[in-house]
Amino acid sequence: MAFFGKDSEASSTQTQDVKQRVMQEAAQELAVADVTELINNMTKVCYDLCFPNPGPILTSADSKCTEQCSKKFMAAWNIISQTYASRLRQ
Amino acid sequence: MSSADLRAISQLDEASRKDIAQWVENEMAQAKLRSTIHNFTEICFRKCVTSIGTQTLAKTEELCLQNCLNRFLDTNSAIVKLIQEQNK
Repeated sequence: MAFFGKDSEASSTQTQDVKQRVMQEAAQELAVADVTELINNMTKVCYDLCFPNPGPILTSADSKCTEQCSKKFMAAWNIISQTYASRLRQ
Repeated sequence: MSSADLRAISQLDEASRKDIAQWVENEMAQAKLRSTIHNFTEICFRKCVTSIGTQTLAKTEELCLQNCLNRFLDTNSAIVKLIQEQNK
């Protein structure tokens, strides 16, 4: 890995700055990947449920279905996450 | 991560590089866990929620989601066991 390259030392404040910046950027990238995966999955699932026969215009019933589906999906995410956590503890 | 970051990291002392490597390993494990949960949620939501009409889950849907995940994990461990036995 490029991480473990040469070993010329920086000063300790510089070191802290670099560490903090690198971690912040990496955490940001991971958070974006995480929310992207959630949005993609939710879109696929709710599209399939709410638009079995997609019509020429978006109706208010369509929008309502999408909104309700997304809320149910989040609730399901929480249940799956809790159930998985208790399963991992066993 | 940009190549400038990688260059900056390569110039840190060894202890700091180890700290970062440890932190990255941790974060990656958490990211993998969250991704697994996304995947399970998709599988079980499709099975357990067949109609929308409320914005909260019905009790039967909640129970279905729990059973869905538990049986999915049972299926996984059964298959792992079978494959291991075949390879003996």
